[in-house]
Amino acid sequence: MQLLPQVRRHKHQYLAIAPAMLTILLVVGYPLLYNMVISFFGRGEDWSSFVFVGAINYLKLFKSSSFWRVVAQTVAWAIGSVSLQFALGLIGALLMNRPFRGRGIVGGLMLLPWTSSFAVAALVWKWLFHPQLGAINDILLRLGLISQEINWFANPSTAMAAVIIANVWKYFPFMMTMLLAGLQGIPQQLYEAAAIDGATAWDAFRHVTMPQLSPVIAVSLLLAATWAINAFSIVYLMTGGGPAHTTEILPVYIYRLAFNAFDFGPAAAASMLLFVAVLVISVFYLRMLNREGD
Amino acid sequence: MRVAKGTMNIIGQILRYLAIACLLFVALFPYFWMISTSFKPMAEYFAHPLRWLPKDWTLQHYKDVLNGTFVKSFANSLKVSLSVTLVSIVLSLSASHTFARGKFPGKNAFMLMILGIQFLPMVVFISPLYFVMQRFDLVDTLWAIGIADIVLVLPLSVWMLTGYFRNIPVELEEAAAIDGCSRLGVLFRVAFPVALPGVAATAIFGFITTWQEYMLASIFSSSVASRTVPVALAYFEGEMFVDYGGLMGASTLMSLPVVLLFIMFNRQFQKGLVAGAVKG
Repeated sequence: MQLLPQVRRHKHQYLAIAPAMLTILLVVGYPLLYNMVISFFGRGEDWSSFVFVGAINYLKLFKSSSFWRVVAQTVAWAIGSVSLQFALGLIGALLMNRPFRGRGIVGGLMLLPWTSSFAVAALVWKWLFHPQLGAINDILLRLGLISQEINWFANPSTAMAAVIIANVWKYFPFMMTMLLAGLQGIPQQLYEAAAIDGATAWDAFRHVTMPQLSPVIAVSLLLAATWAINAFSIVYLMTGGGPAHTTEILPVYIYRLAFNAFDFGPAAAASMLLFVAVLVISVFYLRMLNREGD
Repeated sequence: MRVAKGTMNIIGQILRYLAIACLLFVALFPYFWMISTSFKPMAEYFAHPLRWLPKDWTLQHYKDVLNGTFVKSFANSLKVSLSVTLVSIVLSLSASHTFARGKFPGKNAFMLMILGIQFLPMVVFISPLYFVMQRFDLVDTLWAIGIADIVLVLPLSVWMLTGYFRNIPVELEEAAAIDGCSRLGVLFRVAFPVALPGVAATAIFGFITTWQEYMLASIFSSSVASRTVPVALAYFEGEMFVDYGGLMGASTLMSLPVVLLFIMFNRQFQKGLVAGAVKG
């Protein structure tokens, strides 16, 4: 077999990356392709046989109101999670930016939620939100913020709030670490120049801190949003998508289609749509980043 | 005026410390509650008003957990996490080094692809992986979970290690090459040792990722034989009755390895988080 001259020139490098890249191609690429193919098939007589149905799975999804409800819920979940993570992370980063005694330990302790397993986070928070035995209601009652126990998982809005809170708890340390690193990369001279120009602390924040931080903010928001949109375990383990599918975000919906209803075709179609959505968001975002970065 | 400013500063300081304490409380309270519940006898769960610390500390929950199937799940998780991490690191070493140093056609495409994989929703894999595992009769074995976890860990390892290798000054490797070191030799004798903290951080990240993975693990395991710890945790919730004590005890046990690793490698962890996400 005649190798292209370029391939031959870089033979060593291609060999070096081959084990990893071939494995990735196999373990990632093949299932991805398989999923795309399945999305054009529907159920046959029994649950393991398939019939080619073309684009019907996609059409059915677009016409299905429950699909769009799930999309809306996913968007609400993502916006809620990411904005709260950002707020908490920014506050934390600003607080941690100035050195104080024990800062290293405090910083490390603040990262603990990030290291928790999804299952642990979900189930511990589920226990915390227990209507009668949970600590959250206990704290709210003691503080006098509520007069009666909230049945968190019985109402769509409180259930969504509960899962968002759990998710924010797990992820805000990431945001905080990123923003803190960004803050510490801002040259001190900029602040000094601003002070000479008579800027107040708030002015400095608006005109020095935020602009300098914007690339880090952009990357962090993108990652946080993608992780939120792709999230499965926390919601599934806390509410199972309930009550009545009102906290069902796309990944949970897809899982239910595949393994409760055994509707693998539509599940694959929905997951391809999710994949494309995430891809589009990321590309769009990254392009925006590139334009600003220069 | 000067006195007022000084007082303002002190008030500002106090507010800061208070705010930090609040944030710390938020971060740690769930862990505290988890551990406290695990040492509380079940009767005390129903106490009114709710007690935060157990009155009668008990080890019963831990005894129950350790006598049950949880130990097998723990062992399974260890096996999977350790082997997947090892395999991923070994596979990524030469690839990452090449990506960090080399220039060859297609390099950017490969790197972009690896970056893109981070954004893939894992749900895309559940149907195809399930069918593949079925065909090879691997459902309900640790192999299925291991292979599925490689999907998660390998691209991330390549990405992170590439970043770490890039940070090594080229001169070190060039000096070794001048001294007659072969290409592989440069990798193992110079690059790898210098990047060891980075390799460690990548390994820990990989371990933690597989340790806590729930979705794929739940699909592939139908019996205790192949159950991993996250899936086992979900089993503490019965139809009628939830064994909260056991659940919290098991959760505490499950969190131990991660917290331990974290305490040991705290600084690398923090650096790794930022580097892994911002690099490139």
